Amino acid sequence: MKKKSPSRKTKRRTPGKRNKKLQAEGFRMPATVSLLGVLLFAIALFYVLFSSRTEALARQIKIEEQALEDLRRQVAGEEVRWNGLIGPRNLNLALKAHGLEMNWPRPDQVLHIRDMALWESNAGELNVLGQVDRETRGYRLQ
Amino acid sequence: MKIQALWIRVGVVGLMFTLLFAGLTLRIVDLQLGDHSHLRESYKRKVVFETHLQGIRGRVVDRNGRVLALDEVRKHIAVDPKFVSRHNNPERVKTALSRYLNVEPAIIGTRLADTGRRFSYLEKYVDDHRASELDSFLRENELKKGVVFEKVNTRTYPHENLLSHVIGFQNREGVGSAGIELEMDRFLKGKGGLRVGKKDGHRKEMVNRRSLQIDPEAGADVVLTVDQYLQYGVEEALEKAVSLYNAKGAWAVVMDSRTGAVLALASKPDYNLNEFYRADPELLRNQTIGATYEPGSIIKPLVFAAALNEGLVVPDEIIDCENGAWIYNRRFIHDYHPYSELTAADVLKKSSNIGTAKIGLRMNENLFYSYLEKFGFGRKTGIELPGEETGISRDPRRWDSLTQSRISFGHAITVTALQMVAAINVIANDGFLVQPYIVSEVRDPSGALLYQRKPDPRSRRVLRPEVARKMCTLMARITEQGGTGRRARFGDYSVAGKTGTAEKILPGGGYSDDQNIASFVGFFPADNPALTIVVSVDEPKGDKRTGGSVGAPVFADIASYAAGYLAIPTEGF
Repeated sequence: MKKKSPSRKTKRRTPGKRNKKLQAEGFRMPATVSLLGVLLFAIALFYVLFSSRTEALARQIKIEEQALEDLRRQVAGEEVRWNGLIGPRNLNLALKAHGLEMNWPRPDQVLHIRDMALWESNAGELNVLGQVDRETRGYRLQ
Repeated sequence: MKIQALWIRVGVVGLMFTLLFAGLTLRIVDLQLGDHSHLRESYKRKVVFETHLQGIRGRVVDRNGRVLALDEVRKHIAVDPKFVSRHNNPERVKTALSRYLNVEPAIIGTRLADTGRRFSYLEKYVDDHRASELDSFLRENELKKGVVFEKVNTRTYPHENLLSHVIGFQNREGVGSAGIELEMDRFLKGKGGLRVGKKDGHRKEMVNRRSLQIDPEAGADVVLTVDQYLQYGVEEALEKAVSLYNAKGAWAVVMDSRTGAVLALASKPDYNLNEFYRADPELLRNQTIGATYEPGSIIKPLVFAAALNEGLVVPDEIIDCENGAWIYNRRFIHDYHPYSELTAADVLKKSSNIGTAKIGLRMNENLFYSYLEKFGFGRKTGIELPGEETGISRDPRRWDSLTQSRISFGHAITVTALQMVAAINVIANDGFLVQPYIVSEVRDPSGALLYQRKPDPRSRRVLRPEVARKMCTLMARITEQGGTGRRARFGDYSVAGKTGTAEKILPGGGYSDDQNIASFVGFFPADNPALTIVVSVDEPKGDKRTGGSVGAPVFADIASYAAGYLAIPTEGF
């Protein structure tokens, strides 16, 4: 006669008693809550990422804005200096400093081109428009 | 038992947290929805900022695009004496600052020693170059702490005194206050922008929290008809004249005879535009448009031209000049040099007051006055400059029995130099009156045209063309041998013009014996005019103070410079 396995009977759980291990495993986050948690975490992560990214870009914008302003300032400063340098008073002072004396050309030394179309069609050939004045070695007006 | 206690504890902590968060939530809801405007205002003040962004002011350039006025960033240098005393070396800071600033070391020392203050300016409007050098030096030597560099946008005039009465200036509030800066302010001033954003705990802007950014717009560039090099030549000639004749002042206008474009307009003494606030208010007045004076004999060609245009005089006819003294309506009219008889042409050449009065009186009062009006007297020319005077040209109803005879030789009427040059230019411009102008165009920063002056030199006829040509010939005689304006000639050019010596009116009435304005107005080449010029020297001193001996040589100086610079052919363009 087969002996009944005693364990079955003895191992049978008594009603009201629970397996603690099984009970621990039974605490499961509901799927929707988990999803919500993950979603919130993802949003928070994205927020942090985007925030740091925008902050980095903002810093860059600030640097670029500053650089642009500095360049504008430099351009204005250079323009002031350059215009001062090429101003008539400074040119005169420079001429004097180098001991240069300059005069305007005599009227007979100046070639006036009245017909631009003719000039353009004969570019470089001054004698087409002006007549060489042998006495003054300049060009006489036509 | 233990588990139960644990749960109780967890429950308590949970409850505490729940209460805490509930409290916080309630507070947040209360802050958001409750009436806490004072808190919001306080927050706004600390964090939210609004900055008005200044639009760069447009530039003023000459006819060749050379810059005459522009915006530049400068710096105010200041110190925080308390901070310097605690975190820096005041003695070394003083030495460093005195090397770069135009401030006495003792003054810097005094400012730094005032440690009760947190802010003290040392020098304002330091140019960027010098400020950068100072900044680098301070950084290299670790002396920057407590030294403040405050950026400030300022108007700069690279040529200082040049064209001061034309360009004018912008005041410290950024508003054009004189000259072109005032007249063209609506074009020059940029449109301001706005930036709204938030600051962090260090009071620095958080760019990613900007909620509004309206970019400023730069102002438009104003292009003048003047040429800075020609202007320089004119100003030099006037300076020389003021010095040579020990005069109170001098002024001149150079105008394109055909278009009315003003190529140079100068008034001496002048002032440094970069230091306009130091200038005497009297110096700010542009004498060419703001000073009215009796023109004297320079008006005679216009009286002659009017009579010629009406067929009331013939150049060859003989006019009795009464040996230098003529009683008209019980009052004497005198000539500078007495003449018995002169041809009408010689009346002009010799500048006889008596002869010209007789010619002027051939017209009736209304006709005479209508010519004064046609020549533009008694009203503004309309040039784009503020402060233009109209002069005094009274209606014939307010004339007495002497007025017409007096106006004929330049008394009983006042004019500005610009009116005078425009009036004489009628003769140079085939009998047409042109309106002088000084702004040729206005362009926005992208180069788009906002305004352009299109001269209309043939719209207002005053004289018949043959009369104008005849007058050119007659006026050219004045600068020939025997004429009063011989010294106005230069080079191989033919010059047409007229001298004028006007005694100044005394405040109590009557004319001054020793104060006069010596003038010359004319154009060249006489038979094909290119430039019309007026020159006046105010209160020249010395034996010879007439228009012929003072005004004419200055005219020659200016005209020869202009002829060379503009390469004007002797026979005209």
